[in-house]
Amino acid sequence: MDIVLIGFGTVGQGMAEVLSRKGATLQSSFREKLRLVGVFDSSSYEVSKKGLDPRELLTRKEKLHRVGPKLEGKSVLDALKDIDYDVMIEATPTNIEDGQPGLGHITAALKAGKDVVTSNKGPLALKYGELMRLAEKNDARLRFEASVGGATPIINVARELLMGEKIQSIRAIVNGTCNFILNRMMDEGLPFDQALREAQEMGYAEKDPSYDIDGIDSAAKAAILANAIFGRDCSYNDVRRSGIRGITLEAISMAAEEKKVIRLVAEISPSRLEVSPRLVPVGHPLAIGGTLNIFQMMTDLAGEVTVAGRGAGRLETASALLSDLVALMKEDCVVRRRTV
Amino acid sequence: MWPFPSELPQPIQETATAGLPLIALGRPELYIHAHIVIIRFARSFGPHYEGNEMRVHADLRLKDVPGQLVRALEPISANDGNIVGVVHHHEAVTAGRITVNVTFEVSSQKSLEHILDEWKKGEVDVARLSSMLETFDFEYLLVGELSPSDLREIGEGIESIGDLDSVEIRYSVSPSADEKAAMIFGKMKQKSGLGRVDDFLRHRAMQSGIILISGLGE
Repeated sequence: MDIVLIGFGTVGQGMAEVLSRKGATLQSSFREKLRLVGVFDSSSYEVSKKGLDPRELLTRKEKLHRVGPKLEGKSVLDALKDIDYDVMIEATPTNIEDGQPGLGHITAALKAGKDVVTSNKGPLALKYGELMRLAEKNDARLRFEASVGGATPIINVARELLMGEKIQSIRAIVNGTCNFILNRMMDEGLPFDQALREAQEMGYAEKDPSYDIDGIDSAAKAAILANAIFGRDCSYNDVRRSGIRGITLEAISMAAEEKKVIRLVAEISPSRLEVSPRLVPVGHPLAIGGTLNIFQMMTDLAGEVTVAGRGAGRLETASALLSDLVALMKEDCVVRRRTV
Repeated sequence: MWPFPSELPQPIQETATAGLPLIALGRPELYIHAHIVIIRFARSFGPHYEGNEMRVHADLRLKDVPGQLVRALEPISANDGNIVGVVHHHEAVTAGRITVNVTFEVSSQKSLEHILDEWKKGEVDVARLSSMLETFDFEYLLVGELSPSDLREIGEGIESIGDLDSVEIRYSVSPSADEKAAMIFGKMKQKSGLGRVDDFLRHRAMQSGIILISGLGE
C-alpha cells in the first residue's frame, strides 16, 4: 500500500512516528508492504517510489523545518499528479470557513479513485455529502475516525461495531479545552479569563481561543457525527451553537449548589443538532474532568453505550488515523482472499 | 403579578432567617436564603387536574376464593387504566382475606373515582390508596444581566405557557457580581409543555443576550 501524507505538523509528524513504530508489524499481519511514497508540509515535499524513511523525515523536519525541497510555487495538487499512490492521509489543519486546502486535496484524491484517511474536520463538516458521493462515484473509500474524538473511537464504533443497533441519540463532550476551563473554574474558583489564560499557557488553547470556547470546534464535530452516524446531509452551519464564553463563577457555584457541573455538550439525534453549555449532574458520565472526550450513545438494544478517551494530541490523533488505515488494509486483505 | 422586589435587596438583611418566608403573598412565595432569593409558584392537585397520567398504588384486601383477583382488576381496565404491577401476598391471610398490592395508571381523577365505586360495589376492600401525578421536570440556569423585572417577566412567561405544575426561580443578590445567575426549576403536567418552555426561554435568551444553560432533561 503506497501512502502519501499531506500535512506534516503535529498530526502528520505523529503519523510518521506511528508508521515507523508499527509499519513492520502491520506488514507481517497483512502481508502487504506499507510505503510512504510522498510527504508534504506547507512549503516543501519529498517523494520516493521506493518509500521514504519516516524517522529520517522527522529528523529533517526538526533540523531544517521542512521535509524536502521547496514547492517553489508548485501547488500540492500539481505535485500530486506525478505521484503514484493508493491512500492519501490528509492531515492539514482544519479550516471551517471553506475547508481549504484539505477539501481540495481530498477531492483530488477521490476523483482519481484513491482512498483517503483524514483527521481534517473542515471538509467533512462543510461538504460531507458531496465528498461521500464523489467517493462512491469513483469507487474510493473515505475514512475519518481521527476527525472526531482524537484517540477515542466513536465513528467506527457506531458504524461498524454497533451496526445492528439503532442509535437514537449521542451526547458528547468533544472539546477538551472547554472541559479544562470549566473544571478549573469549578475546582479552583478561577474566573473564566484566568482559566482560559491557564489553558493557553498549557498549550490546550490557541492564542485566538474562539475556535474552542465559542463552540466552533464542537459544532464541526457534531456535524460530522450527524452525517456519519445519523445519515443526515448537514453542514457545520446547521448546528445550533453556543459556547462557554461569558459563563461566570457565580453560575458555576449556583450549579454546584444543586450538585451539577456545567459542560459544553454536543447533542446529536435525527431531530436535534446542537452544541451548548448544559447542567450535568455530578457523577454523570458527561461530568468527566480534565481534557478527556466522552460520547454517550443511546441505542435501542444495548441501551447506553459510553466511550471515553483522549480527544487530541500528536500520537492520539495518529492512532485514530492508523485505525482507519488498518481498516482499509483489512478490507483489501478480504478482497484478495476472495479473488484468489 | 408575581411578588418580585422592584429592585434587588441591598444590602442583604443579615437578620433574615434562612429558609423561612419573608414575604408570603398567597402564591407564589418569596424566600431569602443567605444570598439567594427564591420565588416559588405552585398549583395544587385536584379533580380539575385532567389530561395527564396519574399513578396509583392500592393495597386491596380480597376474599381468599377464586375469581376475586379478576373482579378487582377488571374495573381498572374497564376505565382505561393501565395495570403496571400486581403483587399477591398469599401468605398473609387475615380474617379470610389476602392482601394484593396493585399499581396502575389512570388518565384522570374521574376514572379513578369510577374504579373506586366499582370496587365498593364488588366488595373489594381498599386498605390503602396513594396516588401521584406524573409531571415532567425542567431546569435552566440563566447567566447575564438579569434584573428582578426580567426574572418577573420570565416567570410570568413560563406561567402563561399553560400546563405548568410548578416553577421556582432562584437568583443571587450578591452585590459584587455585575452579571447575575438565576436557576429555574419547574414541572410541567404534559411532556409537550417542555418544548414550549424551551422555545420561550431560548427566544428570551437570544433577545436579551443572556446565556441559557439547560439541564440534560433526564
